[in-house]
Amino acid sequence: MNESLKQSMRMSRRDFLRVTGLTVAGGVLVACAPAAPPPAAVPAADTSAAQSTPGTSAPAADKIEVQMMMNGPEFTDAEIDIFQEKNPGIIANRLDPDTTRYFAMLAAGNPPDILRLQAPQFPQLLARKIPLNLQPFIDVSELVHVEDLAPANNYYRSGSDALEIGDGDVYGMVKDWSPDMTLWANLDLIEEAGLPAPSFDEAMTYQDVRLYAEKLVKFEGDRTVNRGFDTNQPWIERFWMVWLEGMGNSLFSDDFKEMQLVKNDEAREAVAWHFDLSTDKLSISPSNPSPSWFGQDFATGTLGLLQFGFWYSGGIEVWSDDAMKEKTAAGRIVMLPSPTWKGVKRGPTITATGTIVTAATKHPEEAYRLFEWYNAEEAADNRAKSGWGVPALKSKYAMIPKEGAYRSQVWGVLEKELKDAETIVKFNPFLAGGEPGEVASLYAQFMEQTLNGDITFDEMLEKIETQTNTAIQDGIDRIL
Amino acid sequence: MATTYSKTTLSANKPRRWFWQRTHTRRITRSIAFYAFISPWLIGFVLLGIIPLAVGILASFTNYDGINVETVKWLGSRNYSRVFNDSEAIYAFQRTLLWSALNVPIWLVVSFTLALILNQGIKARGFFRTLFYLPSIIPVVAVVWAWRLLLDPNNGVLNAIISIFRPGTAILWTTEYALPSLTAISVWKGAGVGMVIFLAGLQGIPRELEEAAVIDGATRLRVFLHVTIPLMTPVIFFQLILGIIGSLQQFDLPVLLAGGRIGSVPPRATYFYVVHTMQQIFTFSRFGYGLALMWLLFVVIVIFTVIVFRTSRYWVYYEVEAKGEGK
Repeated sequence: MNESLKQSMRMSRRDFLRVTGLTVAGGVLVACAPAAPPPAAVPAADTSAAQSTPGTSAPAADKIEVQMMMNGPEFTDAEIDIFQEKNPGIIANRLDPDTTRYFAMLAAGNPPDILRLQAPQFPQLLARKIPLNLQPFIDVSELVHVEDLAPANNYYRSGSDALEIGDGDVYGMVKDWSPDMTLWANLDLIEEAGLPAPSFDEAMTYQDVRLYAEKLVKFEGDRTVNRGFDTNQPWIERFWMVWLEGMGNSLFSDDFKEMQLVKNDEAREAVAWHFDLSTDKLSISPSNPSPSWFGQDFATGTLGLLQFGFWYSGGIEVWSDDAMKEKTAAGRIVMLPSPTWKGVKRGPTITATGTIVTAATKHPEEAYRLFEWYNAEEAADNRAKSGWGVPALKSKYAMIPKEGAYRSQVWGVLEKELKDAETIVKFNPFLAGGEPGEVASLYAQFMEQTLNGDITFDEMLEKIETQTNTAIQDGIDRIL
Repeated sequence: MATTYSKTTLSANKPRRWFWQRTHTRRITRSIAFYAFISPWLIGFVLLGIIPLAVGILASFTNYDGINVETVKWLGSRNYSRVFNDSEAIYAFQRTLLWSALNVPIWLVVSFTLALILNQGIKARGFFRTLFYLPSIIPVVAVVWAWRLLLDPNNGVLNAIISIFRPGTAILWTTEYALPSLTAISVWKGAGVGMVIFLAGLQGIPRELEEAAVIDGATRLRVFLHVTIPLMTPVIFFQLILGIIGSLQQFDLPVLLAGGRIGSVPPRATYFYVVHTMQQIFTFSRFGYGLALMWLLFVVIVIFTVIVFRTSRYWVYYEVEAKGEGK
């Protein structure tokens, strides 16, 4: 080999770095590339095309892994074993729910097959063509029938337009659900406050709730010993939406492109109802914080009224101390009907936590199999019997626990509430709808300033409206 | 045109060529060994450092929201100009500066004082060093939960103690006094680490310098002011830089302290810049805008660091004179 050739073949440090850089870059590109070509189920130009046909996945001879984002207690190892025993060709792999991770995996072309989500998140995901249309599977299913679906499942149904949720093809199901506007009352605290025991049949008005809260709150000097009323404030705008829609009003314009708050008297009244409770220290607020959270406060007997759904009937059995467990068993902790707002009683679910199958799944058939098993077989039965929620299928309502003083009282109220829970709330597809949602987060951000008198109530509403509209515009820019 | 060599020429150059060939082979072998040894770090640095940073810079110019890879739009400098019109971002930045101005000096003074005390020949010195260092190794979540139980207005230990003298006290430590409370927690947690670094510096001060000053009639205060402090300025300088960077990036303490409040939005007093950034990214899905906020913070940190470096020539003692600039 001649000298000049040798010279040219010498590797300088710079050359080495170049080669290393190229190798690493190549590796990154390979790593980032999808492991396989997108399946037939990848969403096409419109949502109606985001579907797959049963029977198109890999041969059953090879074990196929299906990943499901779900909390551990909601999909236990024992249930995974049962599923795998019944479906020897499928390995179920549970991942902790993490939306950011889900989107990262989706962007990398390897998303989890099944995602846990709440109803307010669904419209935007549908607009982005992320969920798989499950209608072709359900049409041939022996376990899931459209007429058997509980009304809360309507949050996961749509035609071809993501702005129109409620009817049409099925894209997902609730894992279980609750009429979320119901109240929980501590009868001992009510009695102690000299208040009449509330009716289990007649709904209170929100004015009544406020009056009860005023009597139930207990101060010692500046200390708040007992609070009157609380609710899950990260869902706060969902309550306003329920009340407004009950009156034929809405927090958003028909096309969801604008928030209607500042000039909407009924909306202002809805916000003011919650805000006044905070001003008067009747519920949790920056000037009246809780060391724990309201569910725990109620379970430890320091909160008189709590607005939570039927699911809390399971929660209180877990979070209570022994004394409260005795009270609960004795029927001193009770569920009350959803209150009426301006004479209208509406009790829909505002969470409808459920699952969708990702349209980009590589194994749609196996993913649907797990989805169906989870929502219609043993896992669904376990949830129905636990009392942590109303089953997704009406045919499983009979499994809801009803024995004992506590459970029979809760069932008595729930049975009637189910009739008021047929409707769904129209969530904005241009907002991400997390927990807290954009509106609830802004309310939290500006409430303290308003309580301190740094800004007025009107200024708070203006800030919420302006910034929500900016968030909506951002959403429109990203989606449309 | 290729050069040709005769056999005679080649054989005449043989010993020299052999030498160069051997040297060259050795060099290549050493280079390969060098890069092979650093390649785990190099690959990690490129994959986990350079590439994410490059992606982060690019994404800060887009409307990326974590999902819209296919429909992402290039916004130019809009995200950056938006920061200056975002009153909440400006407010959060001001709060962060205020917090840094409060936290960094207190942390430095407390850490240094602890180090000075524990550098004396006191009894059970090892025990106290361990004791003061312990908060630094407790996970921040546990630290904040413990402090929340102390500071809770209705059921907290602190208010319970005050209530012995003034019944019914419910001071809102975590909202009305959020900034001082947060500083207390931060200093309590961070003082141990600062103390250990200061201790190392103090133990590096030659005893003979202090002894010479004492022989010359200097009091303990003068020794401290004119010997100890000047010799500790490089350590103070290092700690100051770390403190400023840490304070400007503060996120976990206010958010955890607000846990249980709606949406875990911290009180206004501790609504810091990175908290606002995280709100933008995770609540409003504004990844691109959030990244722009972060890059601007990076620039601010660089500016502060440069300022501290530039001013160091006036107050940091360097034993080696650098171009006649050191003290």
